[in-house]
Amino acid sequence: MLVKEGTQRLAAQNLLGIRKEHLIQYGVAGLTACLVLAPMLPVLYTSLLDRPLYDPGGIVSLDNYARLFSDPAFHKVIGNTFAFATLTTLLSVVLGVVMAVLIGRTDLPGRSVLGEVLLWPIYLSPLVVAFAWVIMYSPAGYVTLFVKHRLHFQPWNLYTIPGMAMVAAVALMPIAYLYCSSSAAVADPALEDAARSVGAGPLRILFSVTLPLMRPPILYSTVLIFTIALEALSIPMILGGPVGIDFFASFLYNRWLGGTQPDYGLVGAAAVVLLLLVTGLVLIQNSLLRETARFVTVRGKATRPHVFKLGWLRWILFAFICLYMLLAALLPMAGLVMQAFTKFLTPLVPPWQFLTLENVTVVFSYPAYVRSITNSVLIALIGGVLTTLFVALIALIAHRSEFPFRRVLDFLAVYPRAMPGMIVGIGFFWALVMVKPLGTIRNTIWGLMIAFGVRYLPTAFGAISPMLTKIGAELDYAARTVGADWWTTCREILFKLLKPALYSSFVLLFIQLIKEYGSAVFLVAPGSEVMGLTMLQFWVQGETGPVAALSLLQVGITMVFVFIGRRAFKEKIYA
Amino acid sequence: MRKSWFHPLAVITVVLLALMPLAGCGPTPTAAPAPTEAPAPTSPPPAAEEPIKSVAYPDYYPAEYEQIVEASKEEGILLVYSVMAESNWKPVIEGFNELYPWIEVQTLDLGGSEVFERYYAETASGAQTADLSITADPSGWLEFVKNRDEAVDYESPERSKLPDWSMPLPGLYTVSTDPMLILYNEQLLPETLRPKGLTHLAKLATENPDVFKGKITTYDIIIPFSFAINWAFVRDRGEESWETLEILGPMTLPEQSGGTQLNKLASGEYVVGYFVSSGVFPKLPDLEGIVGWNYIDDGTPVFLRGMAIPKSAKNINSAKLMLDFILSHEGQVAWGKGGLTPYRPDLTADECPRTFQTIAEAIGGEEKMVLVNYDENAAPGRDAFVERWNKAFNR
Repeated sequence: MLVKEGTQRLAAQNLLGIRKEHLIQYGVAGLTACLVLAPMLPVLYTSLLDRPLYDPGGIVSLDNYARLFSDPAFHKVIGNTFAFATLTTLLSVVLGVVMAVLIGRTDLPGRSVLGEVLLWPIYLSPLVVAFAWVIMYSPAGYVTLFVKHRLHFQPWNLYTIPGMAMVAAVALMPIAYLYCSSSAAVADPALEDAARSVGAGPLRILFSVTLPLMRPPILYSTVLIFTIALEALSIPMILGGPVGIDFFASFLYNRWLGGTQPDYGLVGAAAVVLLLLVTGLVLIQNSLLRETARFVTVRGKATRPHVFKLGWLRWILFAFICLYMLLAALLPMAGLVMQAFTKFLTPLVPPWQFLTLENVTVVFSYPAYVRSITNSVLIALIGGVLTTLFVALIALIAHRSEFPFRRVLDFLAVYPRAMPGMIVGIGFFWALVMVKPLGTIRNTIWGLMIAFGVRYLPTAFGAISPMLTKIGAELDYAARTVGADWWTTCREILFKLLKPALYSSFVLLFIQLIKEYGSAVFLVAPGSEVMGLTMLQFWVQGETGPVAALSLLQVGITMVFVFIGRRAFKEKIYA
Repeated sequence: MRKSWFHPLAVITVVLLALMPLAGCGPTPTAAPAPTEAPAPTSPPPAAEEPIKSVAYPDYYPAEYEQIVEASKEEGILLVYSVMAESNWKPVIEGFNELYPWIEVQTLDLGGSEVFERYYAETASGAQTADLSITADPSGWLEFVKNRDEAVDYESPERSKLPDWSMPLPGLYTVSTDPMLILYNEQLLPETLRPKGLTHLAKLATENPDVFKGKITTYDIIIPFSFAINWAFVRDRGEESWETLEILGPMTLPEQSGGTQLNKLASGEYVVGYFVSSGVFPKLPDLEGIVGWNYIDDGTPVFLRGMAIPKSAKNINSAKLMLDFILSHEGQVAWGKGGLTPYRPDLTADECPRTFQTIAEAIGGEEKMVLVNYDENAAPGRDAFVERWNKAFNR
């Protein structure tokens, strides 16, 4: 059957003079290039213009950069952002590695359950963690007042860079844990045995063998977390505003939306600086990870890795992890629940005095809230499906075709990792302003979906392409020998074998897209609100009750989806 | 084999795409009720010379007004860019829709200058933009109306009912006149420590630094109308008011919204806030015994919320109806219910307990107010002023 079809189609193609596979390949590659470059070129261009893009007669110069670097506020921003990002990365990676080793390699009690629980914060957007922490740990928070009352002084201040880094670390630690735990679990026992045979103790083995072997995931998650921390918006907006601590993202936000006159040139220049910075980081990471063969630990000869015996430390460490989860996640989330069901939450009055269901009804009755919910769910579902399909095509072309620019395509698909969300947003804002025919999708959820999709291309690519490399090329050849062309092979064989990867890409995208707000900041219009941004904006307006209710709903939707996803696709959703 | 490739995701996609229009998103938001659904005129068939008046707008409106009403039926959703929350808008939109049920109103709650900037960007790109703009940013309005000439010079039939100062430029009207207050936490501040004004607060704070240090809040100068308020206060109360601000500055943590100020005053994170917007009024009854307030005895700033129809408005007739409704007696009462402070001189205390007039009485005359009006000197003086303010507030 395939043979016949193949010949028929071949005839049709020759008639047209263009082969279908080339059409698809060049089409997909061209579209990817447009999508990835669309946000970058306008950002670069506005950074060089002396006036807003929409005013005619702009003069190109480096003046904005000169102004940016001579602006003392920007110096402070750079200092703050780096201090915050470094501290956040340090905290989350150290915590993540410790947890990964404890759960993956020791005889810690209840480690399989703990391993699951530690991942829960991955469903929480840093935004929600920040809301929740304010309720418990701000200067007038419940826990702060409780401790202050007993100690007669206030041992911490959430509104400082270390305080903010702590909040961010809670939300980001699961990333480090996730990457490190899989590596910890498959450590090569032969190497540890070698160390043991020359008399090394458990701690020595840990620091000389086990941890060095985990270098690739540690490095990878370090750069990932550092990048995310560099572009953190919610934390400086919620915690840093009153004390005047600005980060990169809030600097961009305030110069654009908050100030009396938006300074597009300055924002553009700052965005370009951030873009270069993150690109540099990603390049460094890539070159550091080039020689990964050194870290191969799964070998032909399978033996179970040794379990480190913790002895009396077992229960202390167990208590430590439980306490961490309680203080970092559960207690603040309980605060969020209280916030959602009270009119005002103040430690001065018992919460039941203000008990109300009003916040919940507001969330389901105010159009802006309702729209943000439906839009976010639609973007996550449709955007998730479309991005997955599109990235599957990219992966097939990049890995399984003779397409001459496949290396470039491969690079383009992972490059958005170096593009902070807000910059994707600014870029698409200008791109849609400049390219008039595209103006119609500006202010719609389609515009947002495209921006979000571009931002998470690498996530989907990361979920799909490893699977593709595991599918032997002999299957392609088999199809080709019976006459199938490239496209038929992809469709009939590779797509089907890729299904599990496509599902997990979809689930991963859903979790990310429903939380996403950074790239929406400059793209949202009435009718296209999304949950994350609505939450941030309304929280800043002081509408804390409805926002808390909306946060809980967002967490709920994500968890239900993940639960169903796991059932339906029988897939582990973590990449 | 043909038809079955990769079905589940394909099916999901198709289903979702099919659902899109149902969910009311996509390029065109849910269409306004079709014109045919508009209520048929309930009045008896018109006499030959009497103009048809299908809607109960005020009697003193000109006969041509009916044309605006009719034309609005052909228009789409009325898009308003404003700085007010949906809760402020609610009574107004309800009242408006009683008169004009066919007009769907969509309001977007934006930051101060975003009302203008979004408009400029959208006009330049030819995208659909605001039909009506409302914001409290005097310098921004001067730029918008005078320098850029972007406001429709619309003669509202309500003009004769309004004070002259509320219509400073052609096409620019005033929605409300909102006072700025002092709020304090009643549980944490005993009667003797509750400030009556800024000078009083500066004195109290100097005497009791452990009570007030880091526990005072106000609006951040980055907010355009915060700049306007501070500017007008210093302009009207003289150079010595800088001394007050410079005492308060290091003890104050500025916030970006009245809602946050109120929440943190209620939680005890702050004990006092000054220049807090009266937009928080609707929430105060719930906080009785926790948060108290008073006007500012050395000058209560009253800021004008400006409103104009921008020239690129698409649904201009609907916008005119809304503008007139906002200025009308009924519309002003509705704003009062929505938490703003109306100023129409013909409002009674029963309809509206807090108006421009009642505030003037409460604080002992209009001269006790600091009117945050359209000051041509503000924009050129802004940078130096903001710099001095930021220095005083350690920012």
